[in-house]
Amino acid sequence: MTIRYKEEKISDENLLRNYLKGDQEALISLVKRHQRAIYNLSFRFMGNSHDAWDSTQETFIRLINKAKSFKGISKFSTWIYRITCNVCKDILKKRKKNISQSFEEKKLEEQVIIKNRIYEVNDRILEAEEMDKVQNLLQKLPTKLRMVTVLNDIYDLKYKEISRILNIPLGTVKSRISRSREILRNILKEEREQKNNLL
Amino acid sequence: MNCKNIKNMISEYIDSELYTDYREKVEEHLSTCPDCKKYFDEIKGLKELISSATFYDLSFDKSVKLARLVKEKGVKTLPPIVRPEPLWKRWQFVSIISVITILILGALFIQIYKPITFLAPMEKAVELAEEQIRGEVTQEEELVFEKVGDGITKELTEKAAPEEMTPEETIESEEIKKQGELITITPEVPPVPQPIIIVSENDYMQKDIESKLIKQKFEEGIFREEHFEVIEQINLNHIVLIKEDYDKWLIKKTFPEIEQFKDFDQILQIIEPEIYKRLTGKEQLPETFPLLYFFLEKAKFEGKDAYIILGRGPGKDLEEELAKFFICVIEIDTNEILYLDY
Repeated sequence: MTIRYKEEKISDENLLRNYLKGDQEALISLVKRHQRAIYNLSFRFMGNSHDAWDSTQETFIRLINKAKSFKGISKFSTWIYRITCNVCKDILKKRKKNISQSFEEKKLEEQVIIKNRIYEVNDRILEAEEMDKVQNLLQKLPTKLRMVTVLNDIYDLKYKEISRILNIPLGTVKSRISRSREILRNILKEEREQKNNLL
Repeated sequence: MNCKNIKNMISEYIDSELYTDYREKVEEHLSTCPDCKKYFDEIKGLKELISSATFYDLSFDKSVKLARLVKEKGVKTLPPIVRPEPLWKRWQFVSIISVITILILGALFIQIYKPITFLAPMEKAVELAEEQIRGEVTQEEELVFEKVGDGITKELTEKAAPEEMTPEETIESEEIKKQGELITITPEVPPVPQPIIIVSENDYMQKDIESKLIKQKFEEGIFREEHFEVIEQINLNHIVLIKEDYDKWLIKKTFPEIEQFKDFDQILQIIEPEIYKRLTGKEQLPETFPLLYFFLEKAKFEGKDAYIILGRGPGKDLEEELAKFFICVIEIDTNEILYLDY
């Protein structure tokens, strides 16, 4: 007999344990519970829905593959956010490598991406939303600073938890957050000055 | 504190990550310095702007696709489900057993005129070994002896000298005889979470240690409800079984690896008798201390560097070992118990 997980009462860790015992529904519940957070996190890191979707899929695939290695020392959410961050980092790294690929290949790849986007009507609406002010600002930050800012300001996580997710010392989290804010403050200041000059 | 120092702390102040002393200093400075106040307002506004970001969700189509993908991958990763064997296979098994039984009965019938004594495999092995020593084992029986033998019988073969058995060997043989009668049942140990070890910048006060460590433990992400619940549910017998692993994990393995805890095992040797005395109220000390630690934090306690331990140990009114939870705070410099409660 399968157990239904309509209520949020059962912890993530227990759901994962049940899945490892053979309960498929536990895994589906776990995914449903976290898919929004993971997709949004990916979106904020990557800056577009196409990459965010890739990252979300890859995150859950890695979660399934590594489920047995989850020891329960950290919280489940910390663990899954860590996987997401690593997936995003990997995608960004790959992209950097691909810069060296030939212009022709790149053009072809872009065409495929554009084609995919045309079919994803719902996502096109999101793409428009994507150009919100916050995302524009976040895109101006280097990846490392963007990650701490998103985790701290959008996910409202404590510095300690961020240090665990990104596997960096607490001091580094502090310095990255204040550096990120300093950069964003300067950007906003410049924008304001430009507007004033135009007027 | 100058403006530069204050500006460095503004982000931590806004994120409520600054200690009370510094918070007061920042607040004091902000009330007198308009420049820093302006900077504070800007950073606070920035945080509010980013926090107001919309939360993107997957479209319905993608949500369905994701569920399908996860289902597909999830099934592949899981071990195959064991289904009950079909009926014909089970009957096949029964028929094989019947054939074997008939053969055995047949063999017994053939040997009807020979006196047969039924012995347990271990007794049979010992008896045969003794007979072999006396030179009474026939070639046929020798073969049986080889078949009966498991690890222990092989040992007997090696010990069985061709001439005579020494008195020591006879004792050993008797001991093996006794071992053969014992039945060992290993109880199943449920999965147990690993102990938590952290180094933090928390500064606990006596009045709030209980609320911070126990009552609010679930909100901070470190003192996880489940970790405690699982430890609480573990049967006492199982705790005795896992204690060795826990000690190994905590003292022998982890401490040399974590620089901050390298002296902790020495401190425990000094402090354990004291913890035991206080928990039980007994002056007479046992050889080993029935204490199990599952949480260790290096932090501050009323401004002093301290180790905070959560564990299970014996209680005053309970004779069972590891019956009660306790919190213990040990000052690092003096090895003194600053706080102990259970």
